[in-house]
Amino acid sequence: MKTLWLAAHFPMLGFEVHRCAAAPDDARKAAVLIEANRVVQANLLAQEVGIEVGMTLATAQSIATGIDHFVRDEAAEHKRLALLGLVGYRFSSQVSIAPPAGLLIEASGSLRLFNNLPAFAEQLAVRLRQQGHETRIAAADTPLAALLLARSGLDGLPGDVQTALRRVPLANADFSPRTLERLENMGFRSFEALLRLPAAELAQRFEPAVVECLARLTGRKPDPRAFIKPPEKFRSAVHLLESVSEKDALLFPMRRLATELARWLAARSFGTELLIWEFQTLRGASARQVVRFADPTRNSAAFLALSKLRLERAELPQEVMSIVLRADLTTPFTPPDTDLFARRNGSSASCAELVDQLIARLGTEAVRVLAICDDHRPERAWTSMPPGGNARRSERVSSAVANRRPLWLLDAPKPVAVAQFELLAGPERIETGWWDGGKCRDYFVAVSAAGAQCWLFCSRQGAGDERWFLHGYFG
Amino acid sequence: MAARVEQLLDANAEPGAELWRARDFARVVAGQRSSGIATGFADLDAALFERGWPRAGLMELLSDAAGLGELRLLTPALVMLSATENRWIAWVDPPFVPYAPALEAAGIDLGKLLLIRPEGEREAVWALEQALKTGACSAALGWLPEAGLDFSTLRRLAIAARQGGAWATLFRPAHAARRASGAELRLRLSPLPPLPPLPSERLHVEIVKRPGGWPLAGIEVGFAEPSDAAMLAREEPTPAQAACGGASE
Repeated sequence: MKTLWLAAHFPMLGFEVHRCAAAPDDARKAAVLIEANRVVQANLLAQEVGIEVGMTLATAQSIATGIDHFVRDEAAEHKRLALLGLVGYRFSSQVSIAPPAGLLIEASGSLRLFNNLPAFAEQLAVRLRQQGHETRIAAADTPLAALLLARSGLDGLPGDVQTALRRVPLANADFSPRTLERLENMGFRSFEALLRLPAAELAQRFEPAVVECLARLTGRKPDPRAFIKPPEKFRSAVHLLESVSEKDALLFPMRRLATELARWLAARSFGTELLIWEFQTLRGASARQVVRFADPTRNSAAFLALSKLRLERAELPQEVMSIVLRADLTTPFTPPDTDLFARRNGSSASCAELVDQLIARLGTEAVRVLAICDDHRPERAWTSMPPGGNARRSERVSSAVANRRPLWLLDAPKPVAVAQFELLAGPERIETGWWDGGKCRDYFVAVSAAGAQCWLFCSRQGAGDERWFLHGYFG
Repeated sequence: MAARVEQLLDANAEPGAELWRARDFARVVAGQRSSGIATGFADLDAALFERGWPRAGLMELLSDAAGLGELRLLTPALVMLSATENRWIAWVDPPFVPYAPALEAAGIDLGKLLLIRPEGEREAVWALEQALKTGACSAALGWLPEAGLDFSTLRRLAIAARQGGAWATLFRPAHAARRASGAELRLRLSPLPPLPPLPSERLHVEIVKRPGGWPLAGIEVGFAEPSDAAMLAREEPTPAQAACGGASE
């Protein structure tokens, strides 16, 4: 399939990162961007009064007193570009950032969705401008061509690209200043002349970058781009106008955040297993509440229902001013298989839901499943674990299990007087671990005075010193 | 007069007749659809409405001592549920540790058991009610503090059990029989002395309340020879293991 690239160029990005929150009037003032005390970019008003790139700040200020100046912040520009890349991600899954101020979007994949290219470009431009950036958009068959066209402010549409490219000034390409100077000295002003020259001759006279650039420009050589990946962590905050102390009042802003998260997850086909709520006060104190799910979830109602349960037993600071919702553990979401004729009860979804609800209110430790351990000692032959883990299936039938075991086991053996019991069967000798300093035990089945069948053991400390313990009921 | 009554009764003695005598409860129930969960004890099945434990409802087991045989009474039904239903069997705050090796030996699928340990009576009632009404449990066993079980709570639990299609069992002390309860079935358990010479285990079950009948005492439940029961639950016991199990008793 033929690729089609849209490039967005943000000519004023350097200014815009500084004044994103400022009033729009600022754009009507002359301003310059400086780097190492020299002007690297001047806005239209500044250019009109005669300020040029390369001047020192002092010169610029002497030409136009009171001119605004901003120090170029490359890191902030890069960060903003990454954000704009996410905006572009709405339009295509193949979005690449082209520093210093460009964005590349592969459009052929989603062209049908927008009917045609002009509509696509228009919608993209509207979205990017909504973010407060002056945007120029161009389309071409190769990413580099699209980028150069956008930088030059040319409206190249595919088919017409070759003609449009000829008007692209060489200064817009990423050539080194030395190469640019040489090209200029030889009389090359635009790509028009350069494209007409035989490649072999060019390669002899210029550095490889020039030939490389031309090959990528025309598509003779592939131009792979690194596509952005949207972050897999979610964080959003709501700042309240008035402090809130009641838990019920918190639910409303929480619902907004939960809905936002659900949408965020749905857009990425993700679900989350872990929500982190942070409740912050004006004084900086904050409380964290973690909500866990057994399965990846992306349903805002489920988020809210469990969070509400969690909140009920949580201690929150007084006067909460802001609420932050984070979802760190996101995993690809597969919708549960639902059967049209499934029974209402007993679906695996409701089983997982129950576990989630119980954990949210009672805590992780309070909800367990049982499993068997390979150990001959009675109290170590079982274990409990949180639900959802892979319970190891024990297929063996060891002699220890073949003997009778009680259904109830006491947490710790209880010392008893053997006279109160009537022994029925036994003994069964079980060696405890010598490495734990244990003694061997002789187990008996006995009936207590109350009529319950018990599991007793006799532990011999030494000759004649017998101690009896109750270890379980047969229930 | 009395003669005519006798005559009428004789005429309608055979099953299916239009007139039935209340003392023939078992016979009448036998004609009903058997939609309950089979208890695994024929005498008990015969005495219970729908011939088994309630499939969606609350019942109470009243006994003063732990370990009388209350779990073994339920085991056959739990084995059946864990094998046929893909839902949890919840244990809410049991007094001791349900011992996994013994449960598995009895044939219960451990993967279906959910052990819930709430703190405090309010949480315990909430957890049991939640387990019942979500429909995620085929059965729920609850050992709730007596203080939290007033009539309205019991009624709520009974409704939750019906709503979620769950068999709920509450374990309560014997004196709770005097207090009104929303449970549809209430059984009092008491031990029977072992019968010499075989130490076979027996349990006396007294029905305090049941649907479709009146209180009934004197049902004797005998548990099968334990090693046999354990062997039966397993698929293919080898002769060596069977011998070993038998020898230990």
